[in-house]
Amino acid sequence: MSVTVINRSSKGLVRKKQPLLLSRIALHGFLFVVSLCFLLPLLLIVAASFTNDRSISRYGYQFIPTVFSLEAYNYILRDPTQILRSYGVSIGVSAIGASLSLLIMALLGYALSRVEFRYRQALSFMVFFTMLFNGGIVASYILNTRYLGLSDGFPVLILPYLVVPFYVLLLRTYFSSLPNEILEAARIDGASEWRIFFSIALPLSLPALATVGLLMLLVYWNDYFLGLLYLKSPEKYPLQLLMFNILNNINFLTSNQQASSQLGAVDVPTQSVRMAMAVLATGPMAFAFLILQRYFVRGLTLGSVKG
Amino acid sequence: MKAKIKLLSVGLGAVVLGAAALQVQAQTTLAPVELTYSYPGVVPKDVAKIQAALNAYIKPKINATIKLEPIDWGAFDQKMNLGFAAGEKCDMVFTAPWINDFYRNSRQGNFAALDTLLPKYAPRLYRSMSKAVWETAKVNGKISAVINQQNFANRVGLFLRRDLVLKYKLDQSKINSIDDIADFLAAVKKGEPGVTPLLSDDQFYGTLIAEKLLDLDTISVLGAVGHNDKTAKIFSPYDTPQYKRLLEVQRKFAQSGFYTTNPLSGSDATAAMKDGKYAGFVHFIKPGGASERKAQFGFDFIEIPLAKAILTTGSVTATLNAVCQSSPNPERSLMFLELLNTDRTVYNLLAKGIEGQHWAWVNRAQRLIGFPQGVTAESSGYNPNTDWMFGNQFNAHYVTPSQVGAWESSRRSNQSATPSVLLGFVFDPTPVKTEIAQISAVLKEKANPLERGNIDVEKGLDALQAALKQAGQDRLIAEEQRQVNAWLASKR
Repeated sequence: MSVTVINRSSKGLVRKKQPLLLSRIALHGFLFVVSLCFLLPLLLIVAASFTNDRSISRYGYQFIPTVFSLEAYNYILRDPTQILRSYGVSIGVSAIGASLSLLIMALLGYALSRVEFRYRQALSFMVFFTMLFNGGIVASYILNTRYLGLSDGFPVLILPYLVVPFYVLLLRTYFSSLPNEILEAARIDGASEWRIFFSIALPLSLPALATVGLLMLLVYWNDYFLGLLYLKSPEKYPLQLLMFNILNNINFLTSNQQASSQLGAVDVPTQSVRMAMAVLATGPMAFAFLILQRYFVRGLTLGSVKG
Repeated sequence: MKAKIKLLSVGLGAVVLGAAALQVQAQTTLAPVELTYSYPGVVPKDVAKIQAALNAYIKPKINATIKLEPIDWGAFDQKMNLGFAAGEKCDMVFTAPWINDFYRNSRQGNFAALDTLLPKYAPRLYRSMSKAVWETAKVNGKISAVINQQNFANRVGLFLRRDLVLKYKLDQSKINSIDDIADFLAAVKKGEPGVTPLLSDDQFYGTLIAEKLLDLDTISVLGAVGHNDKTAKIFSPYDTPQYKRLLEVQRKFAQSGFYTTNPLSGSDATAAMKDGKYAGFVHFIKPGGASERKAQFGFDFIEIPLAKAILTTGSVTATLNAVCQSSPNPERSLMFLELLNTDRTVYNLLAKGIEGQHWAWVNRAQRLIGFPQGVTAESSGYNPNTDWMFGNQFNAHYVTPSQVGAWESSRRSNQSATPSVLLGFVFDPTPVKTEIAQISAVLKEKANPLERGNIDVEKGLDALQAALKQAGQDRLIAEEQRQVNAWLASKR
């Protein structure tokens, strides 16, 4: 039961009308269901954010809310200073963090990929070793706060993730796949090491860089943990930490019997407000992903398979 | 030459004298210090304003400035643990058995012992509570934190919506125990479509909180004493006939549909209560509790007590403020705690905010406040709503007319409440850690469905009792009895 889907004609590749086959339907149906499983929860969040609490408690979560309401967005945007500030922090930290870490990891990965580099073995070992072992939270907390003086500031949101060993190794693999002849040709033409790196190696490694860059962007954008540990002033909270705190506060207060008997009445944001916050926080990232995913897919395959 | 020497020695003497005078002066005037105070809460917008106003007020008094460090509820435990583990300096922290664990931190030596400091640097605070009360704040024999005075006498009761109580003519005077309200609940269920009589959620609403209803003082996860049993004989509450009877009531309620069979999550249930989907709930009642509940749910409630008010170690030490062992200025911290607990201005600055900005007088004679014009609970830049966190709650301004007088009646109720025989006893769980872990697991698995009325009482209770025995109930109780006996002996 073999079917030629693509037919060579004089005009090149032409798609022939595909017959509806059972296996094809099953496959597409399966993928359709899988993608629904990813999409529907997101849609539900969006839908829940456009209704009010009363409707949620009366009719439950609905894909098409019975009562359409902008209450939640009004509530958030009435005093949006905190959310806007957190957006600023998140965007700033992600942009600076991702580009800085990409630069440093590329430099490190490139050096590690050059066979003629003398300390290659030792440096590789250090990168590899820290990928497997680390000192744990308390040790790094003591180092960061006491010896490096990093607390309650933006550097502490960026510096700890600057070099991710796994991505360094990924970049190194990619750099070593570059044909040595090109680099040698550049050297013969009189280019310095820096020139070779910036003008030859980097442009040739764009897919790998885009992949790692995007992943780092996600690391920084999604991070709340560093902020949770080190930040004290709320005006420096990144968006994810703000969300984490709001949700976590609610969880803590509703699941702790003593806290709830102490707290007669603490106003916690309503369901729809939480959903609206989730929409506002995930929206931009989903958008960035749409733009960058072209590189992302290519990068993933190109990074591993030598063409 | 001789004259010169004389002159020199006189000069030297003057210098020595001068130095001595300087030293005296340094002792009487306090050097300026900055103290930190960390506590959990939703970080308010205007916290910097509060801090400035607070420091302006207390600087002339104790020459100290306070750095307020509110930390989000969900992050507080983790941040405190990490700070203590890393040896970070701190001065004052909020602590309780249920957050920033008071007992664990005290045993680990994170909190300073206050026995000698308290009478010296916070005499009024020390005198404001009886010796028996301070006894409860002792861990390993040392006072490890300052107790926040509030309603100490926890008692379980029923909150019922006033409108429904009136509509179905419930005679409160006839309610002596939980099963007396069955008829009322049945009438509500029949007459109000869409209303479930009692609120339940997946956390702790929806059980009759059985132990508390038995007028017992409990120790650790299992082990109870009749609160007036002078011999302090410890037994398992799960073996008592009263417990079984409560379970039967619970089962009957569940089967009659007074509870929903699949409870909502905590916050969903709260939303549904606001929406009027329940007629009431079982929880701790206290003076002024109904007005807090009105603020939370938007209904007027009638409170019906179902148990005696008992003073226990746990109920007295519900909230505390500790001084860190790492604090460079424990004396000054206590001076601040003295102010926080005895000076209404300081206390209300932290608990309610700045007059005119965050609150305004409604009735000064009654100490009743409200929001200033144009400010609401939501738009206010400072509205922590956690009076009990910062110090003596009886100094707080009242926020609703129905709350007026609540502190006075709380104070009375603290005095009239029956002190448990074990008041002041603190259990050290270290020798029986394994048993406690196993028993907690059994209780979660076997007691929870029973106390929610989901399974048959006879069978479920037998299985629970057998499993508890297996998990080391006898060893735990023996250890508890040993510690209680030693404590009783030391008291005599």
